[in-house]
Amino acid sequence: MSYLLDRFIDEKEIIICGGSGGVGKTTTSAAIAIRAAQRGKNVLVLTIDPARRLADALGIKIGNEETEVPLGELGLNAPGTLHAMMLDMKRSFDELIEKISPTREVAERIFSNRLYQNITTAFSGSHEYIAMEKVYDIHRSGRYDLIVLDTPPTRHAIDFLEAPKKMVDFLNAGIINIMLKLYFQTGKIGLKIFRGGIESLFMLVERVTGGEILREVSEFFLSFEGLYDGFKNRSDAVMKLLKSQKSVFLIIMGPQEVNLDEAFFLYDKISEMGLPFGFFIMNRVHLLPEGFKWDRDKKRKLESLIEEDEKFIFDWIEKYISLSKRDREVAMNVISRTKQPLYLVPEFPEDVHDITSLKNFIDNLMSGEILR
Amino acid sequence: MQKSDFFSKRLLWVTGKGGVGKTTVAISLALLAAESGKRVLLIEVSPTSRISRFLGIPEIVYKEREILPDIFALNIDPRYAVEEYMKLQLKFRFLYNRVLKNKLFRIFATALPGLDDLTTAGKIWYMENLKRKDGSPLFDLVIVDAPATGHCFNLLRVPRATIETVKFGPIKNQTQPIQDLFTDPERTLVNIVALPEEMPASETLEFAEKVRSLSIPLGVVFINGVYPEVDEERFMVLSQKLANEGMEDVVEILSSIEKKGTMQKKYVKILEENFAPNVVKIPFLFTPSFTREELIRIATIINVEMSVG
Repeated sequence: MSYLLDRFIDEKEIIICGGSGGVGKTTTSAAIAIRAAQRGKNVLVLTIDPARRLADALGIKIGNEETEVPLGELGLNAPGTLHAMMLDMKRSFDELIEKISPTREVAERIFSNRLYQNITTAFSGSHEYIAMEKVYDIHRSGRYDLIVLDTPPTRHAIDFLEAPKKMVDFLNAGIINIMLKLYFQTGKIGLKIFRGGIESLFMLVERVTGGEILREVSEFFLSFEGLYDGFKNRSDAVMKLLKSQKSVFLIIMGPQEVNLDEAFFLYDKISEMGLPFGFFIMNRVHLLPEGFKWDRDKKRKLESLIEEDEKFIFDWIEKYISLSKRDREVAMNVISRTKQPLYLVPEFPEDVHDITSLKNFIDNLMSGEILR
Repeated sequence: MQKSDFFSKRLLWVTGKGGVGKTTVAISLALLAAESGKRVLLIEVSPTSRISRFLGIPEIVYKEREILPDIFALNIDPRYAVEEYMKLQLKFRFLYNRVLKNKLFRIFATALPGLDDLTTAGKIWYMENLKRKDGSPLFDLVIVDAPATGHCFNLLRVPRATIETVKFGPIKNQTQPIQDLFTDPERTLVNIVALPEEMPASETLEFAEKVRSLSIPLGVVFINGVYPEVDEERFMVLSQKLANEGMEDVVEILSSIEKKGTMQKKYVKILEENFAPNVVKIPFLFTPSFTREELIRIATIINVEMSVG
């Protein structure tokens, strides 16, 4: 794939690695970033939850600090530079609020709201939202030639694409706030003007939860009133950047059939939203050695060379062959469905926890085979 | 853990990092339980039904149905759970239709953080608690094919968090039995599936610690995809011999299997040290796909391992 990946490294400013959990997204993102540094780029890799030993090996600290990875000291010669950053959700959110709040008091009021505290951690999509927001912010600073985003492990891989819109919709619930204000100011009588569900909704919520939560929700939206435009503008700008030719999306996946639906779902969403797509990366593929043949001669020869109790290796080889067939079938399925290139990365039977193994992983990544 | 102890519970959670084989283990456990004569309910909490994909059956929905003999399955979509919950609160049909169809309600439901998790947890409790006319439980065992550890933790924590937040009133009263079920070692076990690799192993240790901090009982750690063990020295000698005979390609395949097995050893050991005797090792099956046959094979393996352990 070298040429395809290298082309994106050279041409793009943002590479976004998406895909479901457990497919090697973080390691692949780190490897792509290092490759970019080797090609002379000043690159930042933004991650949420890297493997601790990999983070340690690279010297990445928890928190929103852009830490330079001393490639030279680690024995990786690269003309470019590599920075890594591990996103701290809570802090990123606070920083954003500070940035768009008109006054310090407004920000403080929001910080002290219990609902806000929950939202930064519990609102589905808040992690994704803040990751996108951070990419936008750093990109605008112009500090790097390239940003590689390792998307958060979500329940659903597309969550991160929908996060900005969801967030804006959510905060646009100003209408609820108006209703709530009326509810508290005038009591139930005032609500006669609202026919339909709203009155009964509030009655319901109050009955179930007591008035407490309603009051907090109301306060929350009240605090956000002046911030809505800021949110909306930034969110629009984020989407515009992601849709531009400066960005490219890659989908990382595993070779098992059960991964297909999720990958297709994500791919469809990416196309539907008009986001620029690069290619699929299929990790952990069982590749056969080039020109490998498993014929009668070979079996006979192998049989003559091994002991009786080593016969299990026949079984190993045959199983490996069937796995490699399966992997290729799944890969072909992706290509024929999407008409997009797919990159097969051989299974890498080592831990990636230090620079040597990371180096090997990059070699492994670059040694794969492209299907289209 | 003895198999009889394990299956005498009422609610078995199966969680783990993404891609470790939670669904495989959950279905296998359901097969085992059903085989021993239990009526099992398999609950999945996932936006897309993975169980139906594994078994090649029509989509599993919010309403339970029998998918295999004595195995029922349902998928909890939090949206339906919220709706159902609200319906239970609102006695008047005309009211809830008005409320639930309301777009504002949807936004409002998102504004109450944890509402979807609470109603999902509530639905799990509700299903476990279903009774026949004679008062005996409708299902002998409920197995939850839970989301990945992060989200699963939220589900396990939400009853306690809710009780701490609301302190009194109807919500507190409704949440208490859920919390009681989740923390009862006679009824509930949280089981973790892990691959013998760095991230899944360390995540398993962290998650187990967090579950303990909630006073929720931990069950079995299933180490999935364990590669065959080989004598390293002997393997070296053999590889050398084969390479000398020009069979480098065979050596390449063998050594990729051997290397992975060697890499795994360390993590198998870490998991065993931390969770023995409640550890079940499931070998890597080298199978291209997971059909019923493979699931039964895994069930058999779990059966043997648990009978020994």
